[in-house]
Amino acid sequence: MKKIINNELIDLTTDEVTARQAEETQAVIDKQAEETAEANAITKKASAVAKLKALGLTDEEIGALKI
Amino acid sequence: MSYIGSTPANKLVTSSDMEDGIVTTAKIANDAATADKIANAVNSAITANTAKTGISSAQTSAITANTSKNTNATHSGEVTGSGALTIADNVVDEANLKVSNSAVNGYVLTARSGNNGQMTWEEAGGGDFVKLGSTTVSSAVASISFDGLFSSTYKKYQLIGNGLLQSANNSLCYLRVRQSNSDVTGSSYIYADTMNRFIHSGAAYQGVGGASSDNKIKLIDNQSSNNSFTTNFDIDIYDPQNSSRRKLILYRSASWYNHDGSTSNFYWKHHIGAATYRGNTTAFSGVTIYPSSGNFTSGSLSLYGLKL
Repeated sequence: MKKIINNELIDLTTDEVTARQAEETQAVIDKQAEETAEANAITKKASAVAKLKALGLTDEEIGALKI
Repeated sequence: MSYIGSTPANKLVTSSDMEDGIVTTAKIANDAATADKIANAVNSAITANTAKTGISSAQTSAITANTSKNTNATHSGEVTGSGALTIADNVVDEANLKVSNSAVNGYVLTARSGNNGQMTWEEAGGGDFVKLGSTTVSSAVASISFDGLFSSTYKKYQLIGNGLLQSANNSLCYLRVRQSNSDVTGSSYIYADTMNRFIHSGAAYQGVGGASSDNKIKLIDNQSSNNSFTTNFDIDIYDPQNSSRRKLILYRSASWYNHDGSTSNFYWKHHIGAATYRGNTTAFSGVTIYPSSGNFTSGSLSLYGLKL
C-alpha cells in the first residue's frame, strides 16, 4: 500500500496500514448510517406530503412550503 | 681658374655669401630633405593629419566642417536608406540583441543594469497565482499529500482535484490537514455541507449535513470507480500558516456515482461546504486527500498559491 507526498511515492508503514484498514471499516459503517438517515428523511417527507394533501392542500401549496 | 702669383687660400662659403632664394630645387638631392630640415609646424601638422596636403582647399574645408559626407550609398537589407539609415520592420531578432547570456526557451528578457548589455534572459518571476506542486496518479495510492509548500508568500491556497478515479465504487473522499509534516487525525474537525443530488430518473434531493467532532472532513460521497465518472473539486485554504487562529477551508466538488455499473444509471452529485480544524491554532504544513476505501487509481491533484 502506497501514498504520495509532494509527488513522491512512499510505502505506508505497518502502523499506517493498520490505521487505514480500521478507517475503511468505519467508513462503511458511517456510509450505511448516512444512507439510512437519508432514506428515512425521504420517507418522512413523503409521509408529510401525504398528510398535507389529506388536509386539503394542493401540490402547488405544498410546493410553496419548500419541504 | 688661373691666378697671378700664389693661389688664394680656400674660404668656406657662409649664408651671408649667398643671395636669398637662389638655391633651386635641382640643387637639393633626392631624398635629402630630412624632417629636421622642415619647419616644426609643418611636421606637427603632418603628424596630426590636419594639413590635408594633396587635396584642394575646398576639399580641406569640407573635411574640416564635416559637411560633405551627408549621403551614403543606398543600403538594403535589415538597415536601409541612403541618407538617414533606418532599421527595417520585423528584422531585429534575438541574435541582434546584446544580452548577458544565451536565450532559454520559456525565459523572459529582464533589465539588469549591471550585466553585459544590461539585459539577461531569466525564468519568469512568480505571479499572484502560482502552481506550487502537482501530482498525477499513475499507480494505486491510498492518499495524496502536499506538505511544506505553504509559506508567507501566499495567503490563500487552492487545491484542485481533476479527473480523480478510485478503485472502490461508492467510496467517499476525505481531507485532513497536516501539522508539522504529519496528518492531523484528532476528532476536532468541524464542517457544514450542502449536497445536491440528481438521479438519472429525474428525482432531486438536497441534504444539509456536517459534523463537529469528526477526525476528517468529508468532501464528497458516492464517488464512482467507473472511468466515465471522475471526481473533481476545488478546495480553498485560507492563511494556513497563521498560528493564532483557526483556519478556514471552503470546498466545492462534483462527482458521479453509478451504482450498477451502467453509464445511463447514475447519480450526479455536488457538494459545497466549509470546514476547519478547531483542535488548535497550529499552522498547517500541508493537506492530505484520501478515499474512504481502496485507492486513487488515476487523476491529478495540483496546489496553487494566491497572493492577496
